[in-house]
Amino acid sequence: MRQRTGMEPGSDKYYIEKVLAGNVNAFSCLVEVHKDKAFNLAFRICGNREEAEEVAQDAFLKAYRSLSDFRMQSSFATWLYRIVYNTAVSLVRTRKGKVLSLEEFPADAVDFLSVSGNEEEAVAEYRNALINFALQKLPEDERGLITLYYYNELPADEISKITGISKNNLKVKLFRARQKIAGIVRKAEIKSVLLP
Amino acid sequence: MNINKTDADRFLERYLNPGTVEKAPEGFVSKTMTRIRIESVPDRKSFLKRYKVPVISTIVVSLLIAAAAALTPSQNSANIFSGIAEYIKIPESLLSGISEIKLPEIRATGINLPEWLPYALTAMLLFGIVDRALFRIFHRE
Repeated sequence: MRQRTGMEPGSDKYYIEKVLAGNVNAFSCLVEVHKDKAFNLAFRICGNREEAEEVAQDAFLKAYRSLSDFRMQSSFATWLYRIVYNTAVSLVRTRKGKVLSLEEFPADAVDFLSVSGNEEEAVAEYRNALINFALQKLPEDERGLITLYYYNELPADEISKITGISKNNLKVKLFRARQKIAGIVRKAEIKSVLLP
Repeated sequence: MNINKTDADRFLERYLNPGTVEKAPEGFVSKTMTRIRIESVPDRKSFLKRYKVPVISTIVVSLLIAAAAALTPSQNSANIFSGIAEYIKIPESLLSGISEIKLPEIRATGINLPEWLPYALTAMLLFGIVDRALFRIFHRE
């Protein structure tokens, strides 16, 4: 059996070597593979699509510029997410924070149903909007932790590498963030049910 | 490290899962590649540029060692360290203030702190200042 070196066509390492050899277009393959998760991380931290697109693009640009410094000790995804996380958190910290109240989430699944027409889709849309609303009520670093844990399904040591938070501290922070977000979502669900 | 699943987790899994990842907008790849082509050139730094901090640090340390070796009095230079220790007496006159610093004696244990400690502390302070200065120079945006 042939031993895997990580240099097989289609692997991140393969495209990285191509980019470093001067093939700029090879980087588009890396963007294609990682764009959704990178964008999702930026979106969940920033809370809006415009800023998230800007952040994700900036992150890819930074990654491209310093690709020669990437030592391949971690995966390209981990390295990229670290850039996205830091860029998004910095951006959110520089803009003036607005504290959202639960009253600012007036919609419930019925409102989404009137737009979508499909019940299943409407519920999914409603849940997505609600979770996004709840995430914005958390500090920006906790939004990143929740996203990396649930959406990217990364193990704790990978999240620790990305965020620079020690494993023990991460465990505590993640536990608190999950409790907080579950509380917010439950409260919003009750409110939604009570709406006329 | 395992992260134990709680009630909150099971509840949140309905809302948060990889299936609900927010997708990048249409044309994201082409927009990103356009920015890359316009805004950057591949950063293939030379060895000196990439490792400028350790290179400069090594050069400075080598120069200091060479200077110390060159200034070592030859008559009692059993080894370079004894020579350097001899040479350390010279700035004592320049830094007389330091030699006058009286270190507190730890009476309970009866330990006297060594005489060279004020010099070491002063050196650490100076290195700290130099370190901050170098950090500012190399991390300038």
